[in-house]
Amino acid sequence: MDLPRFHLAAWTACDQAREAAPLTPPLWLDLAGSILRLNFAGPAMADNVTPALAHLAISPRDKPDLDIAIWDSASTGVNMPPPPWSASDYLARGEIRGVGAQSGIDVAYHPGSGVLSMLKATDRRGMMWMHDARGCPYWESAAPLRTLLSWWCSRHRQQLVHGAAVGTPEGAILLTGKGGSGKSTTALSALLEGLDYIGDDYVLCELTDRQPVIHSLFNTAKLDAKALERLPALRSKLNNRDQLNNEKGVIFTHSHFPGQVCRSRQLRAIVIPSVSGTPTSRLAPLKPALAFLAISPTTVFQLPGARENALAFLKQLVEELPCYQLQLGADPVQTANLIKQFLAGAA
Amino acid sequence: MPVAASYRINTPHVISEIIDGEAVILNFESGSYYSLNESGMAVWEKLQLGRSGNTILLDLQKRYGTDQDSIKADLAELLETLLAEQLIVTAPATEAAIENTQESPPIPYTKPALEKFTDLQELLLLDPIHDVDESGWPHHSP
Repeated sequence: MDLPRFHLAAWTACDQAREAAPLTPPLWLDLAGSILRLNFAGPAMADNVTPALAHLAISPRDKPDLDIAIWDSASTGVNMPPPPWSASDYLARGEIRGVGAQSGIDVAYHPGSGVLSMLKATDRRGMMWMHDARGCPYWESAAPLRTLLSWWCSRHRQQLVHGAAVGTPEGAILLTGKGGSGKSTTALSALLEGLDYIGDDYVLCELTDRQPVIHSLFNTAKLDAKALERLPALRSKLNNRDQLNNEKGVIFTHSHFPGQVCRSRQLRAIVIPSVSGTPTSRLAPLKPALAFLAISPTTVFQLPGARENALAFLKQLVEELPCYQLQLGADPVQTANLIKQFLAGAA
Repeated sequence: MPVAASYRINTPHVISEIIDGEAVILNFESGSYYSLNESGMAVWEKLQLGRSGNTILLDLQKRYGTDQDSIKADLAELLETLLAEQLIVTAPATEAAIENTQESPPIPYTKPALEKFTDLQELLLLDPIHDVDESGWPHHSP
């Protein structure tokens, strides 16, 4: 498989697309210390990518650590060259049979969303492409570029984690576990009660020589019907109110709670929520092995290329932090106050 | 047959990590994941080293200070389950690297237990491909 040749041809097409498209200013981001420059070929894809990342925007710098080109064929009239693999080569997680990180190039393609991601870390440049920006599904706009960012960050002692995080100036907790366990509802309850919001669904953890740090990736919140029922105050802030029959509700929290969306916090604990049916919420110590079981499969199964290194990272994270089960009660305000009290004591 | 044979971990489909005296195992083929208790973890560690079933049995008898028959039956049952779940496959014996472990006092024995979780299988389902053009590139109709 001639991946380098395809990579080169894709970049030639991308350059043509950027020449053909109306000039669109790049978006500069500071993601956990990496300076990223997102270069759009016209506004079509910019509208899909920008809202979820707007809270990380910074003024232009001399040079980025990573350049990411983002384009589509429909709005630019430039086709992506045919790939050197066949339709039967698509695997789970966006991986492609026969394509490892050949020649230092990471590649993933998700047929469901139609998003192609490529990263050549040594060249400090990546690309996101899809055929038609108008067909970008809501879950891609909610967490854009996550494949590319996962690859990039894993080179910097950082790991994308499936989970939510909220905090105070004293620090943050990572809420993780499988879908439906109460992560999002807990994080959004905390947001409504004035806590800092770092993210929901995907956050970025970093191992440092001192305490682990958690960074915000996307300011998106996703709510299913049950969460909307519990948190009706958020209904007016939905970005896709007219699509709720087919989609989860999406809120770009940076637009509605700009003072509470924060970029980074010291990570104080790993917390696994579970609905308890009791009136009040409480935190109970949890064995590290159970925390690891809650955090690792749900993270690793979602990220193209994540394997032993990701497991080793998550093991270290779990071993460096206290782990708790959050037995969720019926009162979201009490839950938020419990988190506040915990963080005040943990600092 | 399970205890007499030799095995290897079914890589690259299977990855694992040992933490807190337990093993957590992920199977990328099935989307299932597993936890092994302390004695199961002890078996898994030996499987990672390429030990045969018979050598693992001797290790277990030493670890738990007993040669009771039930250990052999428990080990056979666990190996059968690991095979059925495609977490291990039979392989030629590679007994070369037997390390000199320090003698440590025996610990209480509990039967190896493999707990299986299937709630995340949907994460590893293939995306549906609706329409594919001549070059094999999925075609997305506007």
